[in-house]
Amino acid sequence: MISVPFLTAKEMVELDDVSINPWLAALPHYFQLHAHQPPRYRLCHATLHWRYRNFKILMFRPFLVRRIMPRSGLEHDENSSSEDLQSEEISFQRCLDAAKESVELISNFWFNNQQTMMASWYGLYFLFQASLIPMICLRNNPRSPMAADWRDQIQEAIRVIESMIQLNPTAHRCLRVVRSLSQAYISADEGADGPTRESLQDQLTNLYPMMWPTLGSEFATFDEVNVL
Amino acid sequence: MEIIPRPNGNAWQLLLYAVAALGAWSAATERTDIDTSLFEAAKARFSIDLLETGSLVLVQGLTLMSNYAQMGNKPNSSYNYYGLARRISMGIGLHKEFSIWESKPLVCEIRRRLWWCLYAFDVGSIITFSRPFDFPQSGVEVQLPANVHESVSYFPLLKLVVVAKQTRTSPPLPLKCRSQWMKPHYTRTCVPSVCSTWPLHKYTPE
Repeated sequence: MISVPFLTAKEMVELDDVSINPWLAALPHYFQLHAHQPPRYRLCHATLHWRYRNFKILMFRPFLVRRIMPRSGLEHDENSSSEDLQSEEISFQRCLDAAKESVELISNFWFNNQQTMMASWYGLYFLFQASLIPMICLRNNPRSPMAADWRDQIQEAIRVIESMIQLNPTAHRCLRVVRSLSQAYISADEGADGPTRESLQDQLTNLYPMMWPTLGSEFATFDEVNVL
Repeated sequence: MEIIPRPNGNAWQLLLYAVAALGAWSAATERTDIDTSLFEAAKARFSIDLLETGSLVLVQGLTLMSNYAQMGNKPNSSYNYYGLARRISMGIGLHKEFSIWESKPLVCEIRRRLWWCLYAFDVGSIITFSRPFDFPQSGVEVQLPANVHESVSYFPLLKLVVVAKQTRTSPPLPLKCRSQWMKPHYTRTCVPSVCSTWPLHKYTPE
């Protein structure tokens, strides 16, 4: 994610198919997504499946950003083969699906299980990153046919984060960020103004510390490290 | 029930307070700062002299302190603690299995579990914070833990571990962490390629 040159969509999709999907398939039957868990294993089972989807989001997010920000100058190279285009489409879809599933799974877990600090820490971490995806999409394409679905996901994420505020101080800051990013677009009417006028550079600059929450953002306590 | 005497020394006390701090933090259902005081107690029992000792208990304590620090949004402190835990673990040979230990299957099993737990935590942390991958790969000869339920008491556990080893099959009991251990193996192939231009073949799952 921090290297140059970045992998192509085709290479990333292949890595996903060769490395990550076999891991998922090799999970024992009692740990597959819908296998019933006794209470003591519920959180660890849940975080495993959240973590898997978070990794998919990280892998495919750059292709989603490229696709969704049309003025990026990173549009398809005219020499892209149809195979490249197909891989980019697959990447885009996998990122969207992973984000949507994350929001659903985390919300479902949070409202149906004991709400401990541990559950909140992991849930918030993965939920926040997942919610960035529909937010980026909605801000740049408020009139997309998928906009309603993106709004639903954002609102669900907000519902979960609000519920965590009593317990987890970080939730308050997350909520502030989510609201500030999505407020103008969350109502179907307000999106009629069109996509955000922020330049790509500004959007990426503002989003970057949220995408990598441990790299010097307001969420990371720079624990007494003397950078000099 | 067998009672195992409490070991002497600060390492055990450190572990005790680290466990308490993590427990207080993770099980909280309302805001509390009890865990902070417990962690301070753990830290107070960590002196530089401990770096000139080595024990399973010390590795366990440092690993848990690292996990707590990570949960407290202190990734750099966490990274440092894992480094210490890792070095001390290799100092006591957790990265190897010696045939002389065959006669003590429970001890072997505990050592394996500790090594692979440290692996899962540390590698997860390395990947999350995009640190250079430096968890030892070559020179490590540790089997994965046996698929045996933790609640099995001491003597049946010995028997089960020996049986599992001999028959190379797993008893039909769940071990929740097994998949968690394997995920870093698979993720390792992906992340280095994503994070660097090194060719994929340098990182193959073991």
